[in-house]
Amino acid sequence: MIKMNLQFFASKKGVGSSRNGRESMSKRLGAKRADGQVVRAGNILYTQRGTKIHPGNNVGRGKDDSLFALVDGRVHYERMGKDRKKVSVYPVEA
Amino acid sequence: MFYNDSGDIYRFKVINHGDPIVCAGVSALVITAVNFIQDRLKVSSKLDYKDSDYIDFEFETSKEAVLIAEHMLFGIEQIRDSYKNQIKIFTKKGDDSND
Repeated sequence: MIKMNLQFFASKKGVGSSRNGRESMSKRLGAKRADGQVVRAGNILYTQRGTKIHPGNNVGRGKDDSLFALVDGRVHYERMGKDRKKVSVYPVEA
Repeated sequence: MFYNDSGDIYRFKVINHGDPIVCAGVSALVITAVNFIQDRLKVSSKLDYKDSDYIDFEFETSKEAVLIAEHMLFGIEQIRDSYKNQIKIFTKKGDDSND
């Protein structure tokens, strides 16, 4: 008698399938405008999940937590409290 | 597949492998046939096999044993027809079994 083995003739024994092997597209999060850079109203400054960086003066927060300029001006990343950061836009004098 | 002079299968030798699914089908058919003939039909038989490589099985050609072997062959032919060029079946007539 032979012990029933469905892999008897298989060259690679015990090769199961894995349920891994999926990955979502990288979303390229992070800063889109640097400190000191001049931006226009509506420009995206920082894309994030949650609020790594908080909206400061003249900066709005989008539905997906992205931060964008509300006015034309220069970008400034600043501290906020002990361990938080915010980004602001200050109008540039003409 | 080996046939005797009266046209009955008296021995079969299954070698090697290929696609895992086809392997599983062939393994099931062949191992079931061997085990059934040995365990249930109690005819004299000679079994030689090496895991992952081949099964060579010769048996006394009782009516039931030949039927079981034909049943196994029928199943293998069905798999061959569904899974083109995955299975080749060779037949050899006569008792000179020097394969």
